[in-house]
Amino acid sequence: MPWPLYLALKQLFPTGKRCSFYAATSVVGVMLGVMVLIIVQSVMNGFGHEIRSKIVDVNSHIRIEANQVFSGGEMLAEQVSQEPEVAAASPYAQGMVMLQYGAHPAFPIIRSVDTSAGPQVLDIDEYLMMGQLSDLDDESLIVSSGLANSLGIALGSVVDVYTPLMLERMKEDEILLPRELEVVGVFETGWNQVDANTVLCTLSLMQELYGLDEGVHGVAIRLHDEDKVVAVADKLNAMLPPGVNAHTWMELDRDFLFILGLEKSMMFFIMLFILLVASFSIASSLMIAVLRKTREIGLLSAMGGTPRQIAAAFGLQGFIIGVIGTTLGVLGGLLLLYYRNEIIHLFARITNSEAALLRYYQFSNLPVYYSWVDFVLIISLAMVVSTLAGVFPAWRASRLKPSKALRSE
Amino acid sequence: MNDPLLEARSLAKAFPSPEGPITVLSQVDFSISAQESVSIRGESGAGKSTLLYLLTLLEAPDSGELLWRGEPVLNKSIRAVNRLRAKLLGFVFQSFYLMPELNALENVLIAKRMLGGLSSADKTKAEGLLKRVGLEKRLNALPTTLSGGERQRVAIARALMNNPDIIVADEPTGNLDEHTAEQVMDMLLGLCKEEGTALILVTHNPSFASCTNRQLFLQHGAL
Ligand SMILES: Nc1ncnc2c1ncn2[C@@H]1O[C@H](COP(=O)(O)OP(=O)(O)OP(=O)(O)O)[C@@H](O)[C@H]1O
Ligand SMILES: [Mg+2]
Repeated sequence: MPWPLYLALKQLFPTGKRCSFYAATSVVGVMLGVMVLIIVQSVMNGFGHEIRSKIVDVNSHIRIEANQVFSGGEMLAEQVSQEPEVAAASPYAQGMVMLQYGAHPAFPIIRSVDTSAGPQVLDIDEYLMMGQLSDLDDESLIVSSGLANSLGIALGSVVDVYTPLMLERMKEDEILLPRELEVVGVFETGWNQVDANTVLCTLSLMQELYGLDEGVHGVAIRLHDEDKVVAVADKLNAMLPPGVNAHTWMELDRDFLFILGLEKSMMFFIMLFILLVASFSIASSLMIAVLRKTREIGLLSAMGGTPRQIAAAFGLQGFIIGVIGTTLGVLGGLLLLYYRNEIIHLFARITNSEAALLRYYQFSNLPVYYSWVDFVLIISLAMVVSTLAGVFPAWRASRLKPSKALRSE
Repeated sequence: MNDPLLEARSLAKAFPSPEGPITVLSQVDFSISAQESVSIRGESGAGKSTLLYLLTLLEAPDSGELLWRGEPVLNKSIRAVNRLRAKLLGFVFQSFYLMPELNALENVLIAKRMLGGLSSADKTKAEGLLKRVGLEKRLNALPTTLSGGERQRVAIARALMNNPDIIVADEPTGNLDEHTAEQVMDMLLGLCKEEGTALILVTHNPSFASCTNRQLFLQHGAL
């Protein structure tokens, strides 16, 4: 072993002791920083992934839309389905209605879903809490859980639906009566925005409610491979007539995704400060060590140590602390993430908040997603920051003139 | 005697000060041959330590010539000088400069480590040296648990570890009480004789000085 490495190790782990106080605190500092970063980023990624997959489930991968209602939606969907990348395509219409149950009104978003037996664009079945998609016909609705709760709707409830078309007709002194529809299903996606206020119906009912005749608002498309979404959208745009455009879900939910990404980077930067503080404490401890050992450093030069070797004997300590702290931090982080649900439930039981947890977060298990990019980023940042902490003290040590160092009393 | 191990010709050194340069050493000639012991005395501030730093090239002289084993060293690279010094010279200082994290044995072995790898023979040798300075029972003791005299004995063992040609000792007993000083000095002189190592000894104590082959006195910047 080269002697600078030997001395660096010995200063961290002196003979007769397991490790020096300074080494222990520095390692713990780096470890905490890495651990917290890994946990926070993995949980953020978990939420992000969950939300993204819900967005895709609810909003589909690609939507073809025009500036106005267009006819021939079935044909377009048929044509798009021929593309090899496309798993399913179906025309849809959406809008807003007033829904009344008893004396309670609500103004939900209404969307048509594909009820045919073929491949489905939207994975509604997976989110149905009550009822079945096959029960949906032109005289029925599926409502979101939030809406069902706030209006007290249950399966079999009959609700009145008023549409903008009725207002239009009223101007022409024509009165259309509200449609009475039966609720045949309740769904919940976990995505609050959708769960609060959405109803689903068949396309033909939607066309009738909105007076679209054969017209649709767009065609929703699901792909086999999510990663090809941009390429397929570009390809479709090249085929489509002017005025009709294909949009990816990333474009359509751009603001939401932006905020999701922003939150993640903000968390990252805030947690990064733990690492920075740890590195400052390494730097100051090392600096004190260099000053206290000035004369010993003088002796090391007298015994043949070059400035570079002396710099290494001190600077390497930062690196070693980085290696140990990062390793422990990654292991600790993974361990805590592995037992995250046990920990949360234990915590909830101790604080008596298990019920509240379920009510407000709609999840009983914390989602995580391990992103290798994030791991590499966190590990390299921790290594760079703790190694840099050793640079200045090392430089100071190497600059000491031997005679001056030996003279200093 | 044979060729000098270390030879200096008209070494001069001045330190800058606010009132202009202060000449500490002017025209110092010095030489020491194998197995010879030389003592240097002088008033405090006469420049004894400065002279040792110049002779060992821990500090560069302003002018003069310096030869180690007959080789001029003033124009050599730091790296080359470092290697030569580590083999030629062993150091003992007034305050012992032991690494606080290492035990007695490891402090002796570090001298060898710095020259290259360790072998098991080195360990035996270091243990032998510590035994000869009477510390065979304290091999694993940390410096903080050793007395001043014991620490200096570890430092002497460390200085001898690489079989240097010369031991350079700057007031090695300066921090020790009279009795301990005598013990330590006996050991140093005895070991140098046994090992055939030359000794440059800076001391204030005339009786220690009288134990050396040659006694020099530094005054007015010259010997
Ligand atoms: N780096 C320096 N800058 C300025 N003056 C210095 C420097 N180093 C030493 N001196 C001066 O050089 C002179 C000789 O110092 P030196 O340490 O060699 O004396 P000494 O003979 O070893 O004294 P002592 O017996 O007290 O150890 C002193 O006056 C000291 O103040
Ligand atoms: Mg002195």
